[in-house]
Amino acid sequence: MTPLLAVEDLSVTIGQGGFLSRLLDPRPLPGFNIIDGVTLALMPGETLGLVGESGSGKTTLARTILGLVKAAAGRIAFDDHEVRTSVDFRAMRRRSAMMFQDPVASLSPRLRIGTLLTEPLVIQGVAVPDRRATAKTLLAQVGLPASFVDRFPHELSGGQARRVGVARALSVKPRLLLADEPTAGLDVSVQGDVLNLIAELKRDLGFAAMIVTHNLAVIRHVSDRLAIMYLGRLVETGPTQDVFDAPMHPYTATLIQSEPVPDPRRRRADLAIRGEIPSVFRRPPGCEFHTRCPIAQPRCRTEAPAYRHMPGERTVRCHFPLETGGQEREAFSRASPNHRGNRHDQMEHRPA
Amino acid sequence: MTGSLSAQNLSVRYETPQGAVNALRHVDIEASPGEVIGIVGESGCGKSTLVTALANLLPANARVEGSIVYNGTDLVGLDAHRQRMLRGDEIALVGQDPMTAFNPVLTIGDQLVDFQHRRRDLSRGQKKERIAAMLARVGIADAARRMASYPHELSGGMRQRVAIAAALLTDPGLLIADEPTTALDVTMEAQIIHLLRELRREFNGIIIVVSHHLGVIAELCDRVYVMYAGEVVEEGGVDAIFHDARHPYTQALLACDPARFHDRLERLPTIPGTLPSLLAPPAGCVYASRCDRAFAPCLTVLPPKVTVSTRHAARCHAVAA
Amino acid sequence: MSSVAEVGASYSGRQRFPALRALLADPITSIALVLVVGFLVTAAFAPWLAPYSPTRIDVLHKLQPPSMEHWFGTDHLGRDLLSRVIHGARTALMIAMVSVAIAGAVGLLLGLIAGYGPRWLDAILVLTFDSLNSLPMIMFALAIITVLGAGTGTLILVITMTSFPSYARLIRAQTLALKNSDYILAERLLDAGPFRIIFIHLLPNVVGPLIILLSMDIPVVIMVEAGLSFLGLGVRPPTPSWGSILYDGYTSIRSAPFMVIFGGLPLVLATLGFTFLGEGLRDYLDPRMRAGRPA
Repeated sequence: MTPLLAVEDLSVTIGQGGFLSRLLDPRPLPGFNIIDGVTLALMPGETLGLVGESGSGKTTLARTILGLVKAAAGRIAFDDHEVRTSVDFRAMRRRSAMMFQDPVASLSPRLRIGTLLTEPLVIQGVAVPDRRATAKTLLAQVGLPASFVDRFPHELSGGQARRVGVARALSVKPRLLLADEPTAGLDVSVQGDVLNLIAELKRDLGFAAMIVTHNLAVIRHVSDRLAIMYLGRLVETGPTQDVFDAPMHPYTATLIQSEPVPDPRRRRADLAIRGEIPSVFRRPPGCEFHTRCPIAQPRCRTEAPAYRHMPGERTVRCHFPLETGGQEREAFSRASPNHRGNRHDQMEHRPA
Repeated sequence: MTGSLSAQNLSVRYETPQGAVNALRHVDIEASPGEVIGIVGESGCGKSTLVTALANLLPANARVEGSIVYNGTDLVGLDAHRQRMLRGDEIALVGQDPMTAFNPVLTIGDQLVDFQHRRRDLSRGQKKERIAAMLARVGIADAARRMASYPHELSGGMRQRVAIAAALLTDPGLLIADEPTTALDVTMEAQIIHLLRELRREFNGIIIVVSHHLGVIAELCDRVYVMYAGEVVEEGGVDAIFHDARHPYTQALLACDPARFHDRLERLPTIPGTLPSLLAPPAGCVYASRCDRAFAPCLTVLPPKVTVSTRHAARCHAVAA
Repeated sequence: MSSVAEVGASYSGRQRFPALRALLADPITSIALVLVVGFLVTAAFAPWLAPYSPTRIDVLHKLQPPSMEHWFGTDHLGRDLLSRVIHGARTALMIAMVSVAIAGAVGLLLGLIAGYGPRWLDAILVLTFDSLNSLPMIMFALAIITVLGAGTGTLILVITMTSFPSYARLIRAQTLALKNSDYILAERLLDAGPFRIIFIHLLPNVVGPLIILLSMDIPVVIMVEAGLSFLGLGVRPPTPSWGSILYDGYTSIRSAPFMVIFGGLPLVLATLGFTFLGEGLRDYLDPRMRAGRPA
């Protein structure tokens, strides 16, 4: 099966100065890769979780894929066609949808919900004889009352605005949905609502989804595959459950361990990770994670690791991946005293 | 100086053109020195109002009833001058966004010196020494260099460390941390949790941690108050709350946290329904409209506070029955 | 406090005309509104309100002090001063509102284009705005009037030319700030064209501050018109204008001081009215000014 979306060796560079500064000082500035050599594929109907901390470039990657940010190098293919020119990007955007982090801010503030919901259809030239009726149908599809057609975006709660965002994104029947932190700012009791809704619609409409998030607890339940980003590079990809059960990259492992556990009986003894996330403007040489890695070797400080394909459709960008039973995993456990193997084993496996 | 904190039957209303918003209703909070108290709830539950009430920072349109006794002094109805004295010396607040806590045009060092303006007995040099010691204590290695930096030059985690150091400089008896890790990344969050846990060993005042994140509460607190729609619905030791929750809301809230489930769930659990309006709170239980165990009295009669065991109580008719 | 703000927000709009009520909470704004409405009504119904024709000359009764027949007295040509003041309101408001409206529309359009359009176009437009802004208004007015001759049309042209650049700059700054907001990005992702983005999504969100600025500029334009007419560079006689009334009064200030008073008073009142109304609007629309009220 060919992937719906294929990204190959994608890089995004910033910091080359504006037109005027280049005129005054023609020496080329170094430029910083905020996205560096990212390769990933998304199968039709699949959900990919793109996970990283702030500054990892995950939002930039999503925006670059849809052409809102210009790539410096690399290839993007959508539905087996290379996307290069602005015409290609426009064609791709018409078959994709994006949900933004702040649901209220991504709705034009002076328009009513009814107008906003049907706008994508109007833009795409779909004949909408009765905009109000169409808007009401869309509202019903995402479980909102029909009376919302006359509301303004600021009159909605975060959860309601999310639902409107979903309805708007899906009104044009996209093949790809990019959701940027779809649960940011939502309460625990509401975030499930939005994710269940996306999952349901995904089943009905059969689109592929890429969910950009820092929330590991949530992504574990809604994605088929994971891609972990650190400083603009992918460090690990693989099936979600496998990555959570046995992370291969030390960063993935520390990330999973850093997540606070809602159980006072399993408090962590010590820190999972020390040090600060470096800035992309001062990217560490070699492996970018070596400054914080508990098992870093001299080689990691000088030589950047390449993608390594591992069994079980996994890739990892590390010289010393944590393989099950391998000596690296032993070393990692010793180096981070907090590591408790499969600490989730003693947790509930099913909802109460 | 340390003392115990006790809020009794505390209610806060905001007078607005639309009517009175009952942000907090008959809340009882107890805390003794050395304890870490957790206040957990979702947006609109009144936790921010509770924090501002405890820190004496309520806006002018707030009407307070009940009492907040700290170290033998009732904070409600205290004159403005004594409120300020208390706030500066005894009660310290660490907010969610450490960026807004600092003046962007002054260096960290200058601001921390200024925070100690009431310590007239210390020279500027002595104040700087205290700052350096405090920064080292919150895990900032090169304190001297950091004191010369401006807030924007620090990362979010670093700023939160400085904010905690600033709060501790006045030797407060009550430290309130309002969503201290919400704006931080997971790895930074783990570090701040670790720091707060280390600090409590030497700190003998009261720490109040307010969060919507169950994981943070479970990691940090001794006792927990669960809030919903302006009321404390359940209170108890952290183990009792997480392993023996009695109130239907606490149970539902815990059940919603995806971090508790290891295997992939087909559907994430949710709590159907919406918060009641705080303009006209229900006569009976605030949670009745969303509760699957609600029965007749829940709609009309205010639920009693039922003691489950020592220091574990829930406001619920179903628990009483 | 976010919870309170949210609760407040979801219940707003219950009262009828809450916006008008909030605006009129300030007594000075209410007085200003009464003044402005009064002047607008006077200007609109000038021919019916004025007891005499403003241009009817009656040299036998020139420079008469106020009396029952001539409430404001008569001028040096015996024209009824009250009628001239009433018609003067018409001239002043017509010129002020027409030129501010044209300048506002031109500024809005060019500001949006500069803010949202390509960078080279922005550079050219900004250079134009700044060049026009740097011209001293009186010199520029004199030059234009010399070429085109004095008159209402010339006056409107001069005022428009000198005031639209600052409106355009304001709109451009607003547009630049919103250009990369989430909802504009969302619209671009939906493949909305620039026309739709500019007129449906940007315009309603940038126009608020412009309306305030325009309302604060109306009194300025009234003063400019009066000033130029005083100098004989504005509207052509015998069309009544507050400026020319002031000039006529000035020449006979010793024999008939009431002319200066009755010519100057409406000018002062109109300026104050529009200025205070503009300030009231600004305070009401500026979120920082209404910190005390729930959103």
